[in-house]
Amino acid sequence: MFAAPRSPYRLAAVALSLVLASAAPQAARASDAEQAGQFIAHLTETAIDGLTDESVPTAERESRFRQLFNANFDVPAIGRFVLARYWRVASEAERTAFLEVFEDVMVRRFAPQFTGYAGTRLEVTKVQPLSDGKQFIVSTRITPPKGEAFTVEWRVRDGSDGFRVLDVIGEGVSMALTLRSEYTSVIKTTGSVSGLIDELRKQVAGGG
Amino acid sequence: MAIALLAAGCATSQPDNGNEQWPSAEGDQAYTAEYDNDPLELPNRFVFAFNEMLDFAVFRPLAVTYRFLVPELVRDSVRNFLRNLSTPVILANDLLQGELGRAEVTTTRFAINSTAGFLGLFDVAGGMGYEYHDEDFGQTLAVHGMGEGVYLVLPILGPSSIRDGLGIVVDSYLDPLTYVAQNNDAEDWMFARRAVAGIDFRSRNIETLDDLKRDSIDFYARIRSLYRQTRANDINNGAPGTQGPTPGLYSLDFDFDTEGEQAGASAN
Repeated sequence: MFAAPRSPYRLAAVALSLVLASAAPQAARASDAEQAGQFIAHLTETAIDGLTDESVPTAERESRFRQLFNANFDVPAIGRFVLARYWRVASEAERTAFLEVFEDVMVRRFAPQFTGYAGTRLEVTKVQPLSDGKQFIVSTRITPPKGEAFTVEWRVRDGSDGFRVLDVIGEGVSMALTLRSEYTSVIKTTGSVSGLIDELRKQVAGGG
Repeated sequence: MAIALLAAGCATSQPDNGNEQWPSAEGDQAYTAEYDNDPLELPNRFVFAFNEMLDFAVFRPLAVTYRFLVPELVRDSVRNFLRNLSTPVILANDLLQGELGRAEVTTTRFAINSTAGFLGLFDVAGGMGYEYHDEDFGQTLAVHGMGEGVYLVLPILGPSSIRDGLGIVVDSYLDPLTYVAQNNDAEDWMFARRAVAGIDFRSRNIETLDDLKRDSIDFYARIRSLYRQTRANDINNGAPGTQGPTPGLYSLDFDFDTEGEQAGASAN
């Protein structure tokens, strides 16, 4: 308090260094952010091109989706997040089995969702870096040929092997958080991670 | 009973408005029962099952029939009319939250739609850029820092919380039509209005809810999570991660196991 008026230069120096310190990563991030936006634009474009055509057999579309999903989503990180503290207590075999069936659940759930979305337009409206500098929230406006436009936010992380999606947030609802809530509840009810895996297998087998 | 519930709600309510739902940086303890904020899970599940039964037997069939028999234009007018009727409650809550811009939109909508929109049957204002928004006293309480208390499933009304349940009661007192109805022995009309609003809502979510239910392995838990996230989003007026009361979604921690053997695999 007392020091401030006596050392205006120091104050100025502090202020200047603050400005510089915040400007430098900002500049670095700008291009990263751009890349994050392009990653999502490219991903959705590929998905719309490859998955909306109903004349392509279902099995083929499912395998395309699976390939896209594995290449662009950080499935292990999502799996860990979804199991939360139960990831720690799960055995190695359970972890592998869970990630495997989780992938199937995602494929079954989302591969058929793309029909009817041919000609959908996607616009990246904003890219916001998160505090760790590695993660970004990419906001997009999706306009289907029929029906109202809606907002989807993609949480992506810039990792050693490029960008990966961590979470998809639609109108304020996080997919990862919703799955976590549901899956941990099933673990509590059935008493184990194996119980959850069984339930998920049943769901996949039932044609979900 | 209600008093006891309220007391329980105050005892567990957090000043930071439901932040406890989101695991923070110390992701490990990441997930304990508190994050669902559902100590009344057992009775809640019971009421939920009851509601589902009612929905299956009554509400869903009514909604399907309503959507089948009544043309879309008419259904939209029904919704527009009901929305216009709820203007006083929305306006009161806009003002109580200090949202003057939104209050102005609400007022303008009412002026335009009540006149040019034929007593609210047509949403003329929406086409002029004055978009509809909802507000309720539960959200107002949240904006002023009240936590949700605990998650609560209300009979017929469905997912709620101590705070939002209290909000429903206060909203009915904020509504001038409540008093008009009382003075004219027309409380049945208030009930009918709620019923129609419920059927309208249900008829707009038939496929969505069917889908949600079909691919869920714990429908109760899924709905609980969706309700709580949607409310957090509504409270922030659709701006997650801003300086609002719920920093929430953007601070989810996907790295909590980086010390584990998976560290090299995915943590940057």
